[in-house]
This record gives sequence, structure tokens and C-alpha cells, in this order.
Amino acid sequence: MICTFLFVPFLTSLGQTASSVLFEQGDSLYNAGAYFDAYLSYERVVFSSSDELVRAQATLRRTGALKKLGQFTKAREGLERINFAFLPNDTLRYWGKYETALCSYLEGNFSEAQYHLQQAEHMVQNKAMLRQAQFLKLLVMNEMHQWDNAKELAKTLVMELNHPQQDSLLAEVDWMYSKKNIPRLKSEKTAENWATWVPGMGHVYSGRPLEGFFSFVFNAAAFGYMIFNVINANYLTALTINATIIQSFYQGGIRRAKFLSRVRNHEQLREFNGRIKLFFTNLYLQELSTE
Amino acid sequence: MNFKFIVLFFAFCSSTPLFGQSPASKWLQEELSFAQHLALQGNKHDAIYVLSQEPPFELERQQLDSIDFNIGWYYYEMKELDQSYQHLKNVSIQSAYYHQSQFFSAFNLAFTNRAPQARQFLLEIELPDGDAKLQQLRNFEYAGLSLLERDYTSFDSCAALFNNEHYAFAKQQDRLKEMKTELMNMKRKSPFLGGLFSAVVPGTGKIYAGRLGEGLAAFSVVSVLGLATFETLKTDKRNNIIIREDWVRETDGIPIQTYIFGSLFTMFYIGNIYGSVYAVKIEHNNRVAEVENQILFDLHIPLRTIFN
Repeated sequence: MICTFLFVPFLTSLGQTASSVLFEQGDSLYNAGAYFDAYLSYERVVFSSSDELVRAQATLRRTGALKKLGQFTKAREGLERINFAFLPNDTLRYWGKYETALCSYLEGNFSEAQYHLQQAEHMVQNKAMLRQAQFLKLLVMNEMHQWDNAKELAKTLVMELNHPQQDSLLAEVDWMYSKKNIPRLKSEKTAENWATWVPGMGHVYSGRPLEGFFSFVFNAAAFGYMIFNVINANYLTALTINATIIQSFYQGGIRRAKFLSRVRNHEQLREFNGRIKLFFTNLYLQELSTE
Repeated sequence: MNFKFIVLFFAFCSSTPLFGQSPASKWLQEELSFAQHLALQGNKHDAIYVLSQEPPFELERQQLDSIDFNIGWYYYEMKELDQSYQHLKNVSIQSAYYHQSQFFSAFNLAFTNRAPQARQFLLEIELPDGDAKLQQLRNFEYAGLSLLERDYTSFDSCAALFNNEHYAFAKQQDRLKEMKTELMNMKRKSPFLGGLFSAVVPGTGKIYAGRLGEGLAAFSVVSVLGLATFETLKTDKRNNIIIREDWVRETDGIPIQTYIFGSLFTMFYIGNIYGSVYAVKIEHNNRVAEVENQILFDLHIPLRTIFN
């Protein structure tokens, strides 16, 4: 009887010890910058442990290593294998959802990120965690062009900091989200329409006037050459070769205008989000240095 | 009481290395399970990385075979057949996976255009006496590889031994015979004729090669350029808008457009002939490749069926 009682805890502690060793190994590899080996160590814990809490912890650390390697999809897929919602530990539940949201954001899947963040917010226990989730939510809202909601959230985040220069910071948020500064996104359909009616105008609409000018010149030259041939009674040349050249320049111009509008939107969004990130990063760094 | 104590004691001892698996076996089992776990998640490269690490113990031949087999199989599943071959070929006869490894190694060689090497490899596989299925399988695979090398004599010798007894490759045996007939009857079109046709009528060489659309397109382009050249040459110069009087004199009365279109016509005309020659060669190669791919497919299916 005594041996049986001693035997079972002995086996259990063996398993826990193995996980601890792997955790330590993973941590030291991570700290040494060997992220791939660290990921494998944590994955071994997920594989070998039957304790759901231990597996959840290992998955979170695994996520950190994979994020360092830029493998966000793999990280998110690993997180989705653990049912964080049913864990008894509140902090782990929150981190699981938050990391899933973060990986989705880093993958470019903003609607998924928003979905996971909404769940994470309900699991938050303290202000620091809530702020973290809200900052990510702000970035996601910007990516999804939800400017009004993003502005309100940005103001909320500033007010929570209780900064001595709160008023000027709020004014800065107002300025960043003012109509003048919000990215004015171009419509691909409008760019296409402009380019259809006037070759080169689609480029101008998309913010590339010089390229639009050259597009117009090429189209005009091709058309002029066709007229030249018609006048000189070279009808076949005008109908076949010149028409083909005009068609190529014209259709190419329309496609280019659409592409340029996409590029412009991407650049504008990058610049805008970069400004927001820099603003809040500086604020949080200031707060950390004063603490 | 004493009996219960003895049972418990032995149960406890079996958890120790003294009476159970060796450390090397236990380590290998864990590594293989972990690699399988990674592979099931779709991370086969990670699984291969894990198995490729230097083992902390001295491993026996059979244990090394397990590692080689698993790595080779993961590569095979990812269609990295050359790498798969490099590992599967190392599996020794002591392993339970020997025959599977060797047959798939031969197949991997064939699929990576090394049919002669694959045939030699097949002959070197050690088969157990009396195992009719494996003997027939080797005969069948050898026949297919002979066909890939156009060695019809060897194919006929092997085909004579086909008996359609085994469901795994009965149908494929009949299909190989059909492939042989198809290969032997395949008429080769002449690239020279293709070029000649296109020289006389642009585009017809490509139609001869079996590419109707390309032929019509080539005909259209060359004809239009030729007609445009002729049109600009023929047009009465008095109707031309002359920007500079001396342009016409410099070109002996031939407008500059004629030179431009004439050059383009010449370029496309020569390109059309060249393209037709190559179209005939490529079409033949494509037809041959189609048959060879079907042969490889028919060689592959029985292996998957038997070594499932």
C-alpha cells in the first residue's frame, strides 16, 4: 500500500520535472537568440505534458519564439490548438487570446484580430493588460479604417495615462485624426474611370502627375501616328499596327492607374499608423522611465 | 501480502532502465513520436530537423534505420524525392521497413530521371525466397523502368512473367503493355518540314506541330506586318505629308516607315520559322513526357497499395 502511494507521486513528479527541464532549456535557448531550438523545446513540453495549464504556458512561450522568427501563422495555429477559454487561470486565458489577436494582426488578418481582442478584453484583470489590448485594438481599427472609433480609443488611452501635459496630448490626437491628416484613400474604380476617359488622369488622381503626363503623351503620340497614317492613306497600317499600339498603351495605362491607387493607399496607411505607433510608444516609454 | 509486495516491486522496477527499455531505445521512441507530432501538424521540415540531430547515445543499426526511414518518408511526402532517396537507401535489411525503403528508393530514382540507376537498384534488392508478391512487384517495376529507357527487349522478357494475380498491379500490368504499343507507334514529326511550311506560309509550321491557335496568330502578325510594309512602299509619295524634303531623298524614295515595318516583318518572319522548328520538337517531347508520366504513375500506385 505504501509503495503504491509512493509510486504514483513519483511518476507525476517525473513528468513535471521533465517539463521544467524543457522549459529551462527553452528559456536559455531563447535568451541566447536560438529561437528555432527554443520553439522546439517548448513544443516538446506541449507534446509530452498532459497538464493543460503547462501546455498553455508552453504554447505561449512557443509563440514568443515563433514571433521572433517571423512565423506568425505557425504561432497562431499553435495557439488555436489550446482551448484557452476553458483554462481556470485568468491570466493565461487573457494572454492566449491576446497573443492570438496579435499574431492575426501581424499576419494581416485584421478582422480575426479584432474578434480575438473583443474576447480578450472580457478576460482582462488589470489595467496594464487592458491597456495593452486596447493599444493593439487601436492599431487594428486604423488598419480597418474605423477612424472615429480609433480616435475615441486613442483619447481614452491618453487620459488613462494621467500625463501632466494631457491637454496638449489630446489636442495632438485630435490633430492626428483630423480630416486633413486621416489617409484619404483613393478608389481603384475612380482611378480606372479617370484613366478610361482621359489617359493619364488616373495616374494624376493616384498621386503620380508626372507619370500621368508621360502616359498621356504616349497615348497621344500613338493616336497621332495613327491619324498620320490615315491621312497618308496607309489604312491597313492605321487599322492594325497603330490600333494595336494605342490599345496597348491605353489598357496598360488603366491597369497602371488602378495599381498606383492601391500603392498610394498602402503608403498612406503605413505612414499614418507609423505616426500613431510612434506617438504611443514614446508616451509609454516616458511612463516607464518615470516609474 | 508477500505476493502483492512482489508484484508491486516488479511493477516499480519495470519503470526503471534496469529491467525495461534501454536509454537509447527510450530516447529514440520519444524522438520518433515527437517528430510524428510535428509532422501531423504539417511541420515536416521541423520533424526532419529533430531526427537529424546528433543522438546522445550510440545507436544500433536498426535504430539508425528507423531514423533514416522516417526522414526519408517525410521527404517523400513533401515530394523532395532526391533527399528521400538519400535516406531511404540507407535502410538495412535488418529493418522491418527494408523492402518499402528499397522499392521507394528505386521509384524516387526513376521519378528524378535516373531510370538506369533505378533498374540497377531494383536488381540489388534482397527479396525473401518464396515471396511471390514481392518478386512479381520487382518484375513489374523493372518492366516499367525498361519501358522508360525504351529497352523493349527487357520489357518483353518481364511482361512474359506478368500473371495478373495480384490486385495491386494487375490493371497496371495491362496498361504498361498499352504504353509500350503507344511508344512504339509514336510517329516523330520532322522539324525541318515544320520550318519549311512556315517559310512558305507563315504559321503553317506551327499548325503542322499541332498548335492551331499559335499558327493562326503567327500568320496574322507576319501578314499584317508584310502588308503594312507593302502599303507604305506602294503609296504614292506625293500624297505623303513630308516633314522634311531631304528625308525622301536620303532614303532613295522609300519612306522610313517601310524600313521600320520591313525590319519588323523580317524579324517576325524569321522568328516564325525558328518557332515552328522548335514547336515540332517540343510537341514531340510533350507527347513523350505524357506517356512517361503515365508509366511513372502506374509504377507508383502499386507501391502505395502494397506498402500502405
